[in-house]
Amino acid sequence: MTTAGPKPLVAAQAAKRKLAEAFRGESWFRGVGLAPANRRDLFTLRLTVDPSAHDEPSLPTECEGIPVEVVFLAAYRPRAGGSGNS
Amino acid sequence: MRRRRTSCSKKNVPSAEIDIVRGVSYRPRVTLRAGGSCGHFEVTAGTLGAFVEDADAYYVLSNNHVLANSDACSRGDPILVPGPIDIVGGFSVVAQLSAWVPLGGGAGKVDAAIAAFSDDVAHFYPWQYAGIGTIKRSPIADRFAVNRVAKRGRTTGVTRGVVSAFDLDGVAIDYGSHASPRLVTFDNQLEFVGSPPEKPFSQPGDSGSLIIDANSMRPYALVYGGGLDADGIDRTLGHFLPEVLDELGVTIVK
Repeated sequence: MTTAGPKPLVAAQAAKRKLAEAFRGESWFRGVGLAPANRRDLFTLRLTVDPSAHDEPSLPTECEGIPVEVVFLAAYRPRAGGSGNS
Repeated sequence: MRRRRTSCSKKNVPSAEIDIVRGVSYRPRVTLRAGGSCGHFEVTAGTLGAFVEDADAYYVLSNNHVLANSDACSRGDPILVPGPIDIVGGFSVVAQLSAWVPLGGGAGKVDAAIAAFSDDVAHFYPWQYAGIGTIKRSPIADRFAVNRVAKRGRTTGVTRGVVSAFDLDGVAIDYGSHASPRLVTFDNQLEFVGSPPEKPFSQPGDSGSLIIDANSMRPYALVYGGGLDADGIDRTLGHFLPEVLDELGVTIVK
Protein backbone atom coordinates (compact mmCIF):
# COMPACT_ATOMS: atom_id res chain seq x y z
CA MET A 1 0.00 0.00 0.00
CA THR A 2 1.36 3.41 -0.97
CA THR A 3 0.63 6.73 0.66
CA ALA A 4 -0.61 9.64 -1.40
CA GLY A 5 1.97 12.37 -1.81
CA PRO A 6 3.19 15.18 -4.07
CA LYS A 7 4.46 14.14 -7.49
CA PRO A 8 6.68 15.64 -10.22
CA LEU A 9 5.14 17.98 -12.76
CA VAL A 10 4.33 15.52 -15.56
CA ALA A 11 2.55 13.07 -13.24
CA ALA A 12 0.69 15.90 -11.51
CA GLN A 13 -0.47 17.35 -14.82
CA ALA A 14 -1.77 13.97 -15.95
CA ALA A 15 -3.72 13.61 -12.73
CA LYS A 16 -5.04 17.15 -13.12
CA ARG A 17 -6.40 16.32 -16.56
CA LYS A 18 -8.11 13.27 -15.12
CA LEU A 19 -9.74 15.37 -12.40
CA ALA A 20 -10.86 17.96 -14.93
CA GLU A 21 -12.40 15.31 -17.17
CA ALA A 22 -14.25 13.87 -14.21
CA PHE A 23 -15.71 17.11 -12.90
CA ARG A 24 -15.83 19.77 -15.64
CA GLY A 25 -19.47 20.61 -16.24
CA GLU A 26 -20.56 19.92 -12.66
CA SER A 27 -22.48 22.86 -11.19
CA TRP A 28 -20.07 23.16 -8.28
CA PHE A 29 -16.85 22.92 -10.34
CA ARG A 30 -14.83 26.15 -10.33
CA GLY A 31 -11.44 24.94 -11.52
CA VAL A 32 -8.64 22.45 -11.13
CA GLY A 33 -4.92 23.03 -10.99
CA LEU A 34 -1.62 22.23 -9.33
CA ALA A 35 -0.62 23.40 -5.88
CA PRO A 36 3.02 23.84 -4.91
CA ALA A 37 4.40 21.33 -2.43
CA ASN A 38 7.23 21.84 0.01
CA ARG A 39 9.78 20.83 -2.60
CA ARG A 40 9.93 23.08 -5.64
CA ASP A 41 9.74 20.24 -8.18
CA LEU A 42 6.76 18.48 -6.58
CA PHE A 43 3.07 19.31 -6.82
CA THR A 44 -0.28 18.34 -5.33
CA LEU A 45 -3.68 18.86 -6.91
CA ARG A 46 -6.06 21.73 -6.32
CA LEU A 47 -9.83 21.61 -6.82
CA THR A 48 -11.99 24.74 -6.53
CA VAL A 49 -15.57 24.13 -5.46
CA ASP A 50 -18.54 26.51 -5.31
CA PRO A 51 -19.99 26.09 -1.81
CA SER A 52 -23.29 27.62 -2.90
CA ALA A 53 -24.01 25.09 -5.65
CA HIS A 54 -27.18 23.05 -5.18
CA ASP A 55 -25.55 19.73 -5.99
CA GLU A 56 -23.76 18.02 -3.12
CA PRO A 57 -20.37 17.04 -4.53
CA SER A 58 -18.52 13.89 -3.57
CA LEU A 59 -15.04 15.28 -3.26
CA PRO A 60 -11.88 13.23 -3.79
CA THR A 61 -9.04 13.29 -1.29
CA GLU A 62 -6.54 12.04 -3.84
CA CYS A 63 -6.19 11.28 -7.54
CA GLU A 64 -3.55 8.99 -9.04
CA GLY A 65 -1.84 8.91 -5.64
CA ILE A 66 -1.64 12.71 -5.40
CA PRO A 67 -3.43 14.57 -2.58
CA VAL A 68 -6.25 16.92 -3.61
CA GLU A 69 -6.55 20.26 -1.81
CA VAL A 70 -10.13 21.53 -1.97
CA VAL A 71 -10.80 25.28 -1.86
CA PHE A 72 -14.38 26.50 -1.49
CA LEU A 73 -14.84 29.71 -3.43
CA ALA A 74 -18.09 30.90 -4.95
CA ALA A 75 -16.83 33.20 -7.70
CA TYR A 76 -13.88 35.15 -8.96
CA ARG A 77 -14.48 38.70 -10.13
CA PRO A 78 -12.44 41.16 -12.19
CA ARG A 79 -10.49 43.57 -10.01
CA ALA A 80 -11.13 47.02 -11.37
CA GLY A 81 -11.96 49.59 -8.70
CA GLY A 82 -15.57 49.49 -7.63
CA SER A 83 -16.21 46.19 -9.38
CA GLY A 84 -16.80 44.48 -6.07
CA ASN A 85 -15.16 41.51 -4.49
CA SER A 86 -17.13 38.40 -3.86
CA MET B 1 23.44 49.69 -13.99
CA ARG B 2 19.99 50.45 -15.24
CA ARG B 3 19.31 53.87 -16.60
CA ARG B 4 16.27 55.89 -15.95
CA ARG B 5 14.47 56.73 -19.15
CA THR B 6 13.98 60.46 -19.09
CA SER B 7 12.23 61.11 -22.34
CA CYS B 8 10.14 59.39 -24.94
CA SER B 9 12.06 59.00 -28.17
CA LYS B 10 9.57 56.91 -30.13
CA LYS B 11 6.86 58.50 -32.18
CA ASN B 12 3.97 58.94 -29.83
CA VAL B 13 0.32 59.01 -30.73
CA PRO B 14 -0.99 62.60 -30.81
CA SER B 15 -3.19 63.62 -27.92
CA ALA B 16 -6.88 63.26 -28.44
CA GLU B 17 -8.90 66.41 -28.25
CA ILE B 18 -10.98 65.70 -25.24
CA ASP B 19 -13.37 67.18 -22.80
CA ILE B 20 -14.16 64.13 -20.78
CA VAL B 21 -14.57 65.28 -17.23
CA ARG B 22 -15.87 68.78 -16.77
CA GLY B 23 -14.92 70.78 -13.71
CA VAL B 24 -11.48 69.29 -13.19
CA SER B 25 -8.23 70.57 -14.51
CA TYR B 26 -6.20 68.82 -17.15
CA ARG B 27 -2.53 68.25 -16.46
CA PRO B 28 -0.33 67.97 -19.54
CA ARG B 29 3.30 66.77 -19.63
CA VAL B 30 3.28 64.07 -17.00
CA THR B 31 5.80 61.59 -15.67
CA LEU B 32 4.51 58.02 -15.65
CA ARG B 33 5.24 55.41 -13.01
CA ALA B 34 4.00 51.84 -12.86
CA GLY B 35 1.75 50.63 -10.07
CA GLY B 36 -0.66 53.55 -9.87
CA SER B 37 -4.24 54.30 -10.90
CA CYS B 38 -5.24 54.43 -14.55
CA GLY B 39 -8.19 53.54 -16.70
CA HIS B 40 -10.27 53.89 -19.83
CA PHE B 41 -12.43 57.00 -19.58
CA GLU B 42 -15.58 54.90 -19.09
CA VAL B 43 -14.31 52.51 -16.40
CA THR B 44 -13.69 53.06 -12.69
CA ALA B 45 -9.96 52.47 -12.28
CA GLY B 46 -7.31 49.80 -12.40
CA THR B 47 -3.55 49.71 -12.25
CA LEU B 48 -0.94 50.73 -14.78
CA GLY B 49 0.96 47.45 -14.68
CA ALA B 50 4.02 47.90 -16.86
CA PHE B 51 5.60 49.68 -19.78
CA VAL B 52 5.95 47.66 -22.97
CA GLU B 53 7.08 48.39 -26.51
CA ASP B 54 7.17 47.26 -30.09
CA ALA B 55 9.04 48.77 -33.03
CA ASP B 56 6.65 51.70 -33.26
CA ALA B 57 5.76 52.95 -29.80
CA TYR B 58 5.84 52.70 -26.06
CA TYR B 59 2.67 51.48 -24.38
CA VAL B 60 1.11 51.11 -20.97
CA LEU B 61 0.01 47.55 -20.19
CA SER B 62 -3.00 46.63 -18.11
CA ASN B 63 -6.16 44.54 -18.46
CA ASN B 64 -8.80 44.71 -21.16
CA HIS B 65 -11.37 45.51 -18.46
CA VAL B 66 -9.20 48.44 -17.32
CA LEU B 67 -8.00 49.93 -20.63
CA ALA B 68 -10.60 48.61 -23.10
CA ASN B 69 -13.77 48.65 -20.98
CA SER B 70 -14.30 44.88 -21.42
CA ASP B 71 -14.49 45.18 -25.23
CA ALA B 72 -16.87 48.20 -25.13
CA CYS B 73 -14.28 50.48 -26.66
CA SER B 74 -12.76 51.91 -29.82
CA ARG B 75 -9.17 52.14 -30.90
CA GLY B 76 -7.85 55.54 -29.81
CA ASP B 77 -10.04 55.86 -26.73
CA PRO B 78 -8.36 58.03 -24.08
CA ILE B 79 -6.66 56.41 -21.09
CA LEU B 80 -6.58 58.54 -17.97
CA VAL B 81 -4.20 58.84 -15.04
CA PRO B 82 -5.55 58.60 -12.48
CA GLY B 83 -8.48 56.41 -13.45
CA PRO B 84 -11.87 58.17 -13.56
CA ILE B 85 -13.00 57.08 -10.08
CA ASP B 86 -9.81 58.55 -8.56
CA ILE B 87 -9.95 61.97 -10.20
CA VAL B 88 -10.02 64.69 -7.57
CA GLY B 89 -7.93 67.66 -8.60
CA GLY B 90 -6.89 66.83 -12.14
CA PHE B 91 -6.07 64.13 -14.61
CA SER B 92 -3.97 63.47 -17.67
CA VAL B 93 -4.68 61.64 -20.88
CA VAL B 94 -1.52 59.56 -20.91
CA ALA B 95 -2.32 57.17 -23.73
CA GLN B 96 -4.70 56.12 -26.43
CA LEU B 97 -6.04 52.59 -26.58
CA SER B 98 -4.09 50.68 -29.21
CA ALA B 99 -4.87 46.97 -28.94
CA TRP B 100 -6.73 44.56 -26.74
CA VAL B 101 -7.33 40.84 -26.60
CA PRO B 102 -11.11 40.44 -26.90
CA LEU B 103 -12.74 38.88 -23.87
CA GLY B 104 -15.79 37.80 -25.83
CA GLY B 105 -17.69 35.18 -23.92
CA GLY B 106 -16.94 31.54 -23.25
CA ALA B 107 -13.30 30.51 -23.57
CA GLY B 108 -10.91 33.43 -23.05
CA LYS B 109 -7.22 33.86 -23.80
CA VAL B 110 -6.02 36.73 -21.60
CA ASP B 111 -7.62 39.85 -20.14
CA ALA B 112 -5.08 42.37 -21.44
CA ALA B 113 -4.72 45.56 -23.45
CA ILE B 114 -2.14 48.18 -24.37
CA ALA B 115 -2.37 51.92 -25.00
CA ALA B 116 0.27 54.00 -26.78
CA PHE B 117 1.73 56.99 -24.95
CA SER B 118 0.20 60.33 -25.79
CA ASP B 119 2.30 63.42 -26.42
CA ASP B 120 1.58 64.43 -22.85
CA VAL B 121 3.99 61.86 -21.43
CA ALA B 122 7.25 63.66 -20.83
CA HIS B 123 9.09 61.01 -18.83
CA PHE B 124 8.54 57.49 -17.60
CA TYR B 125 10.24 54.97 -15.36
CA PRO B 126 10.05 51.62 -17.14
CA TRP B 127 11.59 49.34 -14.54
CA GLN B 128 11.09 51.05 -11.18
CA TYR B 129 8.40 49.82 -8.80
CA ALA B 130 8.43 51.97 -5.67
CA GLY B 131 8.64 49.83 -2.57
CA ILE B 132 9.78 46.77 -4.52
CA GLY B 133 12.79 47.78 -6.58
CA THR B 134 14.02 47.58 -10.15
CA ILE B 135 12.70 44.75 -12.28
CA LYS B 136 14.63 42.79 -14.87
CA ARG B 137 13.52 43.23 -18.46
CA SER B 138 12.92 39.61 -19.42
CA PRO B 139 9.98 37.80 -17.85
CA ILE B 140 10.18 34.45 -16.09
CA ALA B 141 10.17 31.70 -18.72
CA ASP B 142 9.06 28.80 -16.48
CA ARG B 143 5.71 29.35 -14.81
CA PHE B 144 6.44 26.62 -12.25
CA ALA B 145 9.73 28.13 -11.08
CA VAL B 146 8.26 30.84 -8.86
CA ASN B 147 7.26 30.83 -5.21
CA ARG B 148 7.44 34.26 -3.57
CA VAL B 149 6.07 37.28 -5.40
CA ALA B 150 5.41 41.01 -4.97
CA LYS B 151 3.24 43.55 -6.70
CA ARG B 152 2.39 47.23 -6.57
CA GLY B 153 -1.23 48.15 -7.23
CA ARG B 154 -3.60 51.10 -7.15
CA THR B 155 -5.61 49.91 -4.11
CA THR B 156 -3.34 47.87 -1.86
CA GLY B 157 0.03 49.36 -2.84
CA VAL B 158 2.96 47.03 -2.35
CA THR B 159 1.99 43.56 -1.19
CA ARG B 160 3.86 40.30 -1.01
CA GLY B 161 2.54 36.81 -1.51
CA VAL B 162 3.09 33.28 -2.70
CA VAL B 163 1.83 31.18 -5.58
CA SER B 164 -1.10 29.11 -4.34
CA ALA B 165 -1.87 27.34 -7.63
CA PHE B 166 -0.32 26.83 -11.05
CA ASP B 167 -2.05 25.84 -14.25
CA LEU B 168 -5.60 26.37 -13.01
CA ASP B 169 -8.10 25.26 -15.65
CA GLY B 170 -11.79 26.12 -15.84
CA VAL B 171 -11.45 29.46 -14.03
CA ALA B 172 -14.67 31.37 -14.74
CA ILE B 173 -14.88 35.13 -14.27
CA ASP B 174 -18.08 37.11 -14.61
CA TYR B 175 -17.44 40.34 -16.54
CA GLY B 176 -21.13 41.17 -16.56
CA SER B 177 -23.57 42.09 -13.86
CA HIS B 178 -26.01 40.17 -11.69
CA ALA B 179 -28.73 41.07 -14.18
CA SER B 180 -26.66 40.23 -17.21
CA PRO B 181 -23.84 37.74 -16.48
CA ARG B 182 -20.98 37.39 -18.95
CA LEU B 183 -18.82 34.43 -18.01
CA VAL B 184 -15.37 34.07 -19.51
CA THR B 185 -13.39 30.92 -18.71
CA PHE B 186 -9.60 30.79 -18.65
CA ASP B 187 -7.21 27.83 -18.52
CA ASN B 188 -3.57 27.61 -17.37
CA GLN B 189 -4.00 30.37 -14.81
CA LEU B 190 -1.94 31.35 -11.78
CA GLU B 191 -3.34 32.05 -8.33
CA PHE B 192 -1.74 33.87 -5.41
CA VAL B 193 -2.43 34.46 -1.73
CA GLY B 194 -0.95 37.14 0.46
CA SER B 195 1.93 36.57 2.81
CA PRO B 196 0.61 36.10 5.48
CA PRO B 197 -2.52 34.59 3.88
CA GLU B 198 -4.93 36.72 5.90
CA LYS B 199 -3.48 39.83 4.22
CA PRO B 200 -4.96 40.13 0.69
CA PHE B 201 -2.44 40.12 -2.11
CA SER B 202 -4.81 42.29 -4.17
CA GLN B 203 -8.20 43.98 -4.01
CA PRO B 204 -10.55 45.66 -6.52
CA GLY B 205 -8.58 48.40 -8.26
CA ASP B 206 -5.41 46.33 -8.43
CA SER B 207 -6.35 44.78 -11.78
CA GLY B 208 -3.48 45.19 -14.20
CA SER B 209 -0.76 45.07 -11.57
CA LEU B 210 2.47 43.40 -12.58
CA ILE B 211 3.38 40.44 -10.37
CA ILE B 212 7.13 40.15 -9.89
CA ASP B 213 9.14 37.10 -8.86
CA ALA B 214 10.67 38.19 -5.55
CA ASN B 215 13.76 36.03 -6.00
CA SER B 216 14.82 37.06 -9.49
CA MET B 217 12.93 40.38 -9.82
CA ARG B 218 11.70 39.18 -13.19
CA PRO B 219 8.15 40.01 -14.30
CA TYR B 220 5.92 37.00 -13.85
CA ALA B 221 2.18 37.64 -14.17
CA LEU B 222 -0.60 40.20 -14.64
CA VAL B 223 -3.36 40.54 -12.01
CA TYR B 224 -6.88 40.42 -13.44
CA GLY B 225 -9.25 38.95 -10.87
CA GLY B 226 -9.77 37.46 -7.48
CA GLY B 227 -12.18 36.19 -4.90
CA LEU B 228 -12.64 35.36 -1.26
CA ASP B 229 -12.72 31.69 -0.27
CA ALA B 230 -14.88 30.14 2.44
CA ASP B 231 -12.04 30.40 4.97
CA GLY B 232 -11.76 34.16 4.41
CA ILE B 233 -8.55 33.92 2.37
CA ASP B 234 -8.45 36.28 -0.58
CA ARG B 235 -7.16 34.67 -3.76
CA THR B 236 -5.73 36.67 -6.67
CA LEU B 237 -5.74 35.47 -10.26
CA GLY B 238 -2.93 36.26 -12.69
CA HIS B 239 -2.12 35.56 -16.32
CA PHE B 240 1.36 34.21 -17.01
CA LEU B 241 3.09 37.29 -18.43
CA PRO B 242 4.82 35.72 -21.48
CA GLU B 243 1.37 34.69 -22.75
CA VAL B 244 0.10 38.25 -22.30
CA LEU B 245 3.07 39.75 -24.15
CA ASP B 246 2.80 37.19 -26.97
CA GLU B 247 -0.89 37.90 -27.48
CA LEU B 248 -0.22 41.63 -27.77
CA GLY B 249 3.03 41.38 -29.75
CA VAL B 250 5.07 43.49 -27.33
CA THR B 251 7.99 43.16 -24.91
CA ILE B 252 8.88 44.82 -21.64
CA VAL B 253 10.71 48.07 -22.51
CA LYS B 254 14.37 47.20 -23.08
